[in-house]
Amino acid sequence: MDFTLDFLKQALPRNTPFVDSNEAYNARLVVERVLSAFGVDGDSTNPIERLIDGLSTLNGGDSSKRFIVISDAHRLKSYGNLLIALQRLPEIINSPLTLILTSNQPYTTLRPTNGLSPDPIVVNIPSVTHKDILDYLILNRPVHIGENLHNSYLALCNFIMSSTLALNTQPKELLKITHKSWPTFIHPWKELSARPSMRDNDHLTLTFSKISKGVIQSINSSLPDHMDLLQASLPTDLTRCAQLLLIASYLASYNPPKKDIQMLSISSDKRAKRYRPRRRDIGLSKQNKKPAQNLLGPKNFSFDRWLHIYGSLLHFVSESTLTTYSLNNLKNDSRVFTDNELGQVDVLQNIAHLSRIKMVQRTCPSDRLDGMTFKCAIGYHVASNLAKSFGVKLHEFLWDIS
Amino acid sequence: MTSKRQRSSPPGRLHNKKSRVAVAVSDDTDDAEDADYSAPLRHLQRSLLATFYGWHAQPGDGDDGSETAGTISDLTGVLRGSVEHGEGNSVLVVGGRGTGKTLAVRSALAAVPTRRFIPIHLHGSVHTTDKMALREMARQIRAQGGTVTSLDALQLQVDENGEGGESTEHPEHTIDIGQSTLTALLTLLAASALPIVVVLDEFDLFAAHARQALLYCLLDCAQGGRRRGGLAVVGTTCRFDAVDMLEKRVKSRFSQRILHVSSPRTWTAWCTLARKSLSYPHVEDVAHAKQLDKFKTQWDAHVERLFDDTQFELVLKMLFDMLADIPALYRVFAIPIANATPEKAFPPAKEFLGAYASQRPTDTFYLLDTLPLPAIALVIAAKQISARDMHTFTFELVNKEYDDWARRTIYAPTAASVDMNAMTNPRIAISVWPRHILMGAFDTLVLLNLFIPVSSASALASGEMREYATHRCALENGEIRQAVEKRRDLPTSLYKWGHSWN
Amino acid sequence: MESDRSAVSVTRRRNSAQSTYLPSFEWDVNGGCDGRLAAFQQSRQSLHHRARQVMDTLLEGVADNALSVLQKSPDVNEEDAIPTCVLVSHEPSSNIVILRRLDQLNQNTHSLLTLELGWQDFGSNPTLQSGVKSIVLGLLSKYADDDAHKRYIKSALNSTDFNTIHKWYKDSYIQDNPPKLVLTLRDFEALPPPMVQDLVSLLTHYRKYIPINLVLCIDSSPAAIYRLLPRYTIIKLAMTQVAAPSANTTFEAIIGELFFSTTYNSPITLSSSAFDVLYDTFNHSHNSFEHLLHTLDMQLLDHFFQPYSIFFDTDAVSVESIKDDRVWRYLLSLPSTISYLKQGREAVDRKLCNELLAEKVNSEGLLKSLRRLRKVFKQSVDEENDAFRALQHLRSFIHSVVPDSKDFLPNAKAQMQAKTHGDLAKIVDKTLQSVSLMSKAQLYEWLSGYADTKSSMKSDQLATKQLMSFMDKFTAHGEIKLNTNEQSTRDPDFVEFTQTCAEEWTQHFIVNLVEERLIPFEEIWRVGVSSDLQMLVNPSPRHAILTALRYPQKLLGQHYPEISLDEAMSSDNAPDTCLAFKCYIEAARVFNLSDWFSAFKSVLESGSDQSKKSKKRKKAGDEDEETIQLQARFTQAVNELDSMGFVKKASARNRNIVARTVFMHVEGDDDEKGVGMETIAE
Repeated sequence: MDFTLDFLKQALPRNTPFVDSNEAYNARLVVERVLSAFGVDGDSTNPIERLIDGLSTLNGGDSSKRFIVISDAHRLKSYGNLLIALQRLPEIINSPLTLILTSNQPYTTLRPTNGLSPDPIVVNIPSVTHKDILDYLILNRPVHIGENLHNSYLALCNFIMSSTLALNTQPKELLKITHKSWPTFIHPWKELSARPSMRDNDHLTLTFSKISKGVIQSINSSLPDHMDLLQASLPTDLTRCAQLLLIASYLASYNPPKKDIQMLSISSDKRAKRYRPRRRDIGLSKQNKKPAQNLLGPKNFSFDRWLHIYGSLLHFVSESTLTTYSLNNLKNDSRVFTDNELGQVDVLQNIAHLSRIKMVQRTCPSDRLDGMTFKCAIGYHVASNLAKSFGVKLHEFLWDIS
Repeated sequence: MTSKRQRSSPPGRLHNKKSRVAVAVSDDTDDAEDADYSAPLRHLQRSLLATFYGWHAQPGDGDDGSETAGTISDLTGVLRGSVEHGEGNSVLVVGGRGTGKTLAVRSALAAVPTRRFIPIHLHGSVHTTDKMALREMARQIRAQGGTVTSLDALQLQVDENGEGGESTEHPEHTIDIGQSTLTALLTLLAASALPIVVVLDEFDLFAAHARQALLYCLLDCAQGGRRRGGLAVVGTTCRFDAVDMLEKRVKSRFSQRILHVSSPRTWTAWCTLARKSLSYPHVEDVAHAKQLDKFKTQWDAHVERLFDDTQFELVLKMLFDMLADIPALYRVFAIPIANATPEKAFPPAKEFLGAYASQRPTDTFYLLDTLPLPAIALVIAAKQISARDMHTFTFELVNKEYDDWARRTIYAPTAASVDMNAMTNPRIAISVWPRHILMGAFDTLVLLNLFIPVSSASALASGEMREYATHRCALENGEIRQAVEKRRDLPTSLYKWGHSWN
Repeated sequence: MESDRSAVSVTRRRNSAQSTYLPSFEWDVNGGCDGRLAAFQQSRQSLHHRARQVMDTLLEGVADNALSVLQKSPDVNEEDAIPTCVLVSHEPSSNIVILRRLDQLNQNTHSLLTLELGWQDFGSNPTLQSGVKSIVLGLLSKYADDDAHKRYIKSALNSTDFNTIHKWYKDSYIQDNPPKLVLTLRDFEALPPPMVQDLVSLLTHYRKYIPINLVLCIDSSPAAIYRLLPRYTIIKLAMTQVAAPSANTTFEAIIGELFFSTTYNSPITLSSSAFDVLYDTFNHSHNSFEHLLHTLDMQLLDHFFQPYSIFFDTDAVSVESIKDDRVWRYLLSLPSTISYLKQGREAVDRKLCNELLAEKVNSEGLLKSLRRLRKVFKQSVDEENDAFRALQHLRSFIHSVVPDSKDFLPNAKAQMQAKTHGDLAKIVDKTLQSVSLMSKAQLYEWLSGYADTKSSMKSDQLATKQLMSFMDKFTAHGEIKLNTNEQSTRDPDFVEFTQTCAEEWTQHFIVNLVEERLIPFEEIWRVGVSSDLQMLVNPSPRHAILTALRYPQKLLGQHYPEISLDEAMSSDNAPDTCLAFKCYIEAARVFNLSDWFSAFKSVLESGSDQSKKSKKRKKAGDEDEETIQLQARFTQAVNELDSMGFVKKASARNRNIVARTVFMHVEGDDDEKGVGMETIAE
């Protein structure tokens, strides 16, 4: 894609506007770019009219061919009927003008309804072959590599290609990775002046492949190679109250509401919990029913339900994690305690904080104040680790375990 | 590099002169000293491509007894009536997409004798409000030498009624739209004494305007003959019920003159059309006449050969069966001819076939063969899920599907095996990718719009977990199977899985 | 109903049940009140000042890191991804402080053009357009002069076009090293992710021309980015993470610096309960720096509300100023004094004991001894802190050398807790066990760690002493001499040397930390917090209101002595609001105002039977006179309830139908029923 653009940039005349629809994020800006590139201006507030007005002023010399190149054209979909106008331009202003749209999405995603604009000629950019990528990598190697190390760089490229092509086929990213991993690759090779032999290169490759698991893993993942999302996303800096609230929210959005009483009644009689059907035997019964909730994602729950689950959760967590104050309350009267605790300012304040940092998603319009609904936004592992830190087992409170 | 550049002009609309330019550019860069065929070939390409994308009347389009010809003649009559005798007429040209309505209108306009008149082209999908339409009319009139006296006043009027045009819910506004549009229109039409022909593309869209004020006024002027110069309103539409979309008062002012245009119905007509479109155009430059003749004969022979070829016939037949759509035909023809270089001047039939394949409107699986393997795996998993008729899925679902499959097929699931095996032999590399890699692949798919998010944008904006955003897969089973077969570097187990759903 | 009362008592300053003497200003004390006020103000000032200093020193390092990251960020041509500095902090305020600091740093080195964007800059419903607009206008108005401003903003279109910035930047910075452009997104999580994606891709496009850097301020874990942004956005950012100190470090640093430091003598010290309150509120409910200070203020307020705090500033008070004997008596009745007297006489100095026993109140002598005691107290606190610091240092040293020592040696916070609770003994000997196991080098290193801090503190002196002896025993001209078989077996005399060392340290620690020394009147200088302070720091207003409405006597009884706290008020003298609320509780989800009124009326009349009997004999005029009065009272009550948000209109058409918003749990149902009810509601 980028190469295509580069090619077009040199093939087409100078004044061709190259509009990146990421950057020109609405119709007016696209028009602005085009007009300014052609050095004309149209008087209107409506972008399309402006475009036509402006372009039809340079209608005269039809000998000059004009182009408009728009990259990431699939974003044009949201720009009103600018696309139609652009595609109809030559008909409308009677001047030779070519629209080139590049996108990584098929044209069907932005074709206007009932064929208002003629279909373009679709040209598939062929996928870059492995050899081309390899050549590309070798072509722009890091500058500081000495003449003697080219072979080993080649070895590195081969290794990267062979190990990562399954995961990623973007030449530029591959290039980045190669440059990043070059120092670690060459590191065991001490004397930078000498020319390593073939065997040395193989040796280097092996050593590198041992240490570079992280790099390989990170190539196509959304994470930097050193980072583990689970422990990274553990909200250790939240207050205990907020963490409890998070657990409560998880329970609230993954348990069926009817089962709350059974799951976390203060008199936690194990019999009630033993009746809970195991995941697998219902799995047999309903083969093609809807899958488990933790695959479908969280359900909304009401504010009060959240509070109450939080309150009853307070009775289960190990005492060392609670404040002495709430322990006192816990001692003297459970009911008053919950009433007392739930209304507390800090709980509300923590809830506000949680929904601000999007650990809990608020699923109702923000101006609604009564009957707010929320949605849990943490995964199972985070929740269970939190619960472990409170000395409770999360799955004891979950209705269906899969 | 050359081949790459030739093929790598991305999806886009190539209008008439453009493709000529593209080829011209390539020629200039390729061989400044022209080989023997370059000049005639360039000429061929120019004219043919101009026809393919152009709208200028084809030679001898009138003389075959097709319906289009009749339409053109009728239209010409009407226009002549209003141009010469100052009548007010209104015609509606109805025909499917790509059947040459615009062509007909243009050829009719061309056929109108030389007395000067002002054609005005308005396009329904571009001039979406009366305001814009009126502006456009004013502009074109001015451009064509009409002395628009009170344009500024007109602008004012137009502006205020343009506002009215947007806000249709105020009745009192919309009432005076009608009048002010009328007045604006009258000032416009009075601007020049010449006869005026207003061509309304996408007539039905104009009917969707606020209270159809523009149409009302135009048709009113046309019918009442309020204008001395003569006025013709020609609408083209592809909706056969366009007339029924008009309000009663508008419809009453429309002279129910409807002309039909349609693409060739018979196979023979289709073939003749195709043949004509490929035949070498008549040329009158004496620069390299010898080469021209030589080339012309060869080319015609080649065309004959093409029409004998079964593949080429297949292409034609598919085009004819699918939608007898002339632009589609032109599009298909365009590519091989544009790709023709003096070295290989005569595109063989299979190029046409390839062109046809590449022009199919829903064509996404070429995306698939650049996809990284995890993405492919996810696509297959999505299909597996939808085979259990659940058509929306979350990342978690797909992930679980993949994990189950991996557990079933691979006995020692090690994420490490990806690089080790891949180093030895990518074809049989079996691997279980960890969750975050799959997540990245999922993002890639969403970026490519192969997985289309179903859940609302507001939910995403309010920070819904991306693992749980529901998506649906944009791909068909067939496409996926094709992709799976095309991918050479696919692990065998994945390959099997890709076929396993039916 | 204990906690009910405490909940109610939120509405009032203090609960009468707690302290024997009601803190009252009627005492014949001139200057006492202003005295404590002044003392309060001054100690509060110093504490806050100190805390802020600590916080700033904590955050400065972070800011410097961030700045260095930004300045070292790669240039346009070598990196096409946007260099991004991710500021992670557990509270928004610290991020703001860091940003301020960044600006200050940037003032002297004009190498960056910075602009901060909060979510409000993206419009009420955030859009990219308004975001870009605020970026453009902000940058131009900040760095470009007016005519340039005019020049670049010709139309409204230019202001929403990032290209304007591009032009301006190109024109105005031609020199070879142009300043970097730093955009700061405050509260990153609050912005909708799709918009952030668009913004990032836009900036990436311009990154080719302008050295744009990003600063993302994150208030939760750094994983938020990966949670909210998809991969293809993330690979456009070259991120480096700069983390503000975590909540725990903040707490440890601040509290440690305020109350356990030798360099800063705090005007007041913490008692165990006070420390717990601080710890709990910080750790459980609200772990921000401001809130910590807020809690501290509350505690100070509470402290200086106690009557004995008249004596806080012993130099200010004089015998004449306090005539009232009760004050002195109260002073003498302090628990510390009593336990002091209980202690054997020989342990304490006689003079004071005699005075105390003789209860020669408001005597000059007592005041003198007070002054003396204060000095003693201060000094003992200093010694404690010094020893504690020594202990801390030892701990950190052991943590550094012994990898798995984290599990048997608690962290600083736990040690502070233990210290305030006075059970450091276990920790001390645990620590010193490991001292006796040290090798020579370690011991040397550790001791010299003290020695280089040239202070006259006891522990330092001890350390230096031991260091000297270590030197002349085991070092030959600066070199630690090792025996041949040092690795395998330890040098016996070194072993016994370490034993002695450990012994001495243990003694030192035991004297200073473990055995609690007891100074009379120490409550005066030590913040002791009553349990319902937590109610003040962290009230639960809803519950308080509900309780007040259900049991009005609990609230009123604290103001009006004639109302007894325990038996319910009869309905005729209970306030109307409570009566209306009683009916409200019994009503259904949606009910009619007129029904409510009738219920209200019936309650009133049932409350006053005799008046009803008399009413029988009254004429009709008085009847509706009565009802009119009733209606008036009822309306008032309902309006009050409404203003408290108990009532909301149920139907748009009929204005008489209202809906309940609050559902009490009447006796005997716990929250599970509540959950059940919610589920039914859903």
